[in-house]
Amino acid sequence: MSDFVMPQKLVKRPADMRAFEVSQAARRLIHFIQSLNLAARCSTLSTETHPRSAVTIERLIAVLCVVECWAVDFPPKKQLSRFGNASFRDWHRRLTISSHDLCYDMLFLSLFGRYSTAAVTELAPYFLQGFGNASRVDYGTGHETMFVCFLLCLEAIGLLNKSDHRVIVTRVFSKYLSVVRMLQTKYWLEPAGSRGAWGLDDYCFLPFYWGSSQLVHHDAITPASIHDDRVVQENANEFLYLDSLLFIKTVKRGSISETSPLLFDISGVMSWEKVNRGLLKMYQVVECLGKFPIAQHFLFGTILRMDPASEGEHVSNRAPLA
Amino acid sequence: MGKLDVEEYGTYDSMVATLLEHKFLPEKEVLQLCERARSLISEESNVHSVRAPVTVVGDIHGQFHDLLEMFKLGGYAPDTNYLFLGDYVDRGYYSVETVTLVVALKVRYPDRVTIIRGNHESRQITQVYGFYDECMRKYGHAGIWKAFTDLFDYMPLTAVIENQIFCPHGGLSPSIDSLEDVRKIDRFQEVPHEGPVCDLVWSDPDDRTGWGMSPRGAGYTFGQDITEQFNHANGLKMIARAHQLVMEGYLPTHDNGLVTIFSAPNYCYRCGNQAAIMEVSETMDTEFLQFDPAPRRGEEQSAAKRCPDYFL
Repeated sequence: MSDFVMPQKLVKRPADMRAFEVSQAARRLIHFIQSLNLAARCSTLSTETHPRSAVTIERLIAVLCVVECWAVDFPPKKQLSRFGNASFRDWHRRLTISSHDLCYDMLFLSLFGRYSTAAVTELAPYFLQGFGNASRVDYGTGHETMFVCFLLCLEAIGLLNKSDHRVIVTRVFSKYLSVVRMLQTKYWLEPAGSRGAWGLDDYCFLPFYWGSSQLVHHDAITPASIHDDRVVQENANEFLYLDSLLFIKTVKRGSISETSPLLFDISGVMSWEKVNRGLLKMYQVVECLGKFPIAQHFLFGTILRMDPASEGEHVSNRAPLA
Repeated sequence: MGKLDVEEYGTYDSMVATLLEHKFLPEKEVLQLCERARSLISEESNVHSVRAPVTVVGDIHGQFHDLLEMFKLGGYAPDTNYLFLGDYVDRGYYSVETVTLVVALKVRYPDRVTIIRGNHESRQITQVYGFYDECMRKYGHAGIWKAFTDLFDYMPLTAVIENQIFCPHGGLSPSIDSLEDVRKIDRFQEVPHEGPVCDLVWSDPDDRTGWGMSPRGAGYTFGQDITEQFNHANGLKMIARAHQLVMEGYLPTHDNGLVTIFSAPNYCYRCGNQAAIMEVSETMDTEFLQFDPAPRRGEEQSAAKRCPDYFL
């Protein structure tokens, strides 16, 4: 593997979006997200057992628990204005100071010291960007994407592999989700670039995508089941889609048809398979990768590169047209 | 072609009545309304003069039911005069209904209702924050969005109540020292990325003194010294603005030299904030009326699901 670099932003203006779309980074990311999607099929959150390479998984979860606990040290300040709670900046400052050490710990177990120091330089910024923006005190799907890029990088340097994909979704990502939700509610993080009622969700996207994959082939829960409060509540701890929906119902007041018209619409789609395919397209086109406000913060290094994907390199990345 | 002829009152009365009942207004009538509003407000000054008494309303963001709740509390036009500080659209589910009602009231009662422009009254912002999506979903094409965003270019930038209370949507600008500076701006354009028009709709007051970088990436932050200097130089008592969520619905700052008014309760269906409006009496006394979200019905049975293209 080539030397690692400090990743940087390369999408500077809307005209760069075309290059981003066909970049190796975008292709590789979509490929990774699709692979996790397939791995999550028919899984439940509580019953997945560890694969043999679980040491990185365990360390990831441990690190997420560590950063979660820090929030106790930074109680929200009393304030009346918008822009979320300023205490988030204190929490984030500790994360910034520690991100290299946290990543180093994760890498150290499997890589030799010299090598891992360089790798940390490239990986830590993805990890850091996965937890919102300190100056704006906000969080959104772009940050979620950066955390997934971090996982992709861990795989690229050999710390995770395909056999981990299922637990990456059911254990690592669900833990990550609970950490960022804690941050959102505790510090009133502004939803970054939210369309309010007109986006899929104020903060996240992938729990819906991977969560719908979990439900493909489920014999009792259908897309329309989201209107049945009992079904949602009883199954939210096993399925990310229902879990995220329940979270919305807890934080938003009002009917789903008004507060979340897209989720309401999707409840009319015939099958989870169709929901799953449609969500991937939404992620690519309208909700995440196709949006300049998100792409302008995307980080490029040696693992995720701006140059066009070469022939045969993850050509299967494109979402299949339904 | 500015103000309505008496024979036209009936048409617009029934338009307002339809909207207040939350009934659908045909596309043709909405387009006609926008056309009419444009010729009316294009004649207004960048600093539109408003007489007291008047009730000042902050951000609404498509929360139509809550707007109706506000009218119940503050009274209906024309019995109550209104000054709306912008941000009628985006994020909420009923931006089309909200902006249509506000504009219809303006056209029907031009001397009793004032509307100014917020940072969300913009082509670029509405494409990112929901109004565009809503128009596409409710009308199936972008015609209504285009008509409204074309109208937004003509909205006055600010208002001043009895030459004493200055009302922009956002705040002050380092390139503006006087109301005269505002009057001289050529406003008939999309909100630019920088400059005085941008600042008036984007800036926020701050605890620190002087001008500061805005974390929003547009406009500035300004301290109490800036507010005091501006008020003093222009013989103003106060600045009343909107643009920021405040938990009580209103928040006086800068030693009462500036007040923020926010009129979308439980913003985005989840912020838990109260909303408020500011009543300014004939004698220029101010009083704040707070309100909570309108009681919501259960799941709307009438709502029809539409399958988004990606899921076909």
